[in-house]
Amino acid sequence: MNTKLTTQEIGSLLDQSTRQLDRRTLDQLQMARQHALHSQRVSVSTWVSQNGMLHGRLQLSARALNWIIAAVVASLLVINVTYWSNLSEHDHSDIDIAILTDDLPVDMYVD
Amino acid sequence: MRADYPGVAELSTPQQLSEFLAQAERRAYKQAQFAVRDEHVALDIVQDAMLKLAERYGDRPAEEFPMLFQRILQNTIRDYYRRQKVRSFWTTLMSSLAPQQDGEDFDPFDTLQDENNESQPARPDEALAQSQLIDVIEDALSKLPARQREAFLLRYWEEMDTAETAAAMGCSEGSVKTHCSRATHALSAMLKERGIDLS
Repeated sequence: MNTKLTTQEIGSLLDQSTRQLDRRTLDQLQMARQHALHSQRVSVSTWVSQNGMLHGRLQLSARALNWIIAAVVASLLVINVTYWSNLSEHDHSDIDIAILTDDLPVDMYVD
Repeated sequence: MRADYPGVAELSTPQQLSEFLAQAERRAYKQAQFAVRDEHVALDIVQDAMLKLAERYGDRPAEEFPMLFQRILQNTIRDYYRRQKVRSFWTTLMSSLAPQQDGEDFDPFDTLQDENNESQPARPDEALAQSQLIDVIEDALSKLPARQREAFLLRYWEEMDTAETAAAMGCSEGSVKTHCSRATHALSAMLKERGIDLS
């Protein structure tokens, strides 16, 4: 082998070698990339006015964002359940008061 | 538009990060493979580096990705060396009590597959010559000291300037020049033995 090379040509040959990677390696690299993208940190920016009255940036990963969404949904569920159970309790106390004051509405005897 | 605000850099989109990783992953894998000479470990290193970039800097402006990724990649390779050093210390300590076995020289490039050759020259003899040339170069690069190889690849393969290379390597520009010069001389000497002149 008698060849003359420059550093640029070495770079080109190395590029050539990256194009010869086997399918299995390329698949694994693609999987690694997808995994990384799933964990990407995202920014939610709020810009209200140009003179800087209110602007901010919330930074969190996609995974963290999913957790926050799940937590918000769970909180809404708990609030909803609590509200309806309180409402039901309130109904019972109204009936109790009506019985004590002998002021039960007629429709309570229906059924 | 965020870019309309002075001092506010345009943040990257998931699409930009995806495109960057897609075009950087093969070179990163090769760099890791030159450094650790084990394809599984090289894949782990690249995966770690991509994950760290996405998790910690995934929202940074897209033009910062190459520098950040190189910095993370080189640090991940160095972390691997450190762990290997600790592991080999304990292995040596433990194996001093047991009979030693002669280890075989393993060169991953001997088994490098060529199933997906997308730009293979038409003539088989040219393809073979090029493949041999690549093997020789990769073998020589693998034998360079880590910092010299790092500097050489960043300067002449990633085409970073001295300042960018210094930032990626976490050293001074003077050190980059020294590493590059030594790498070029060492590579030139190794290639000359195989009949290749590096100019």
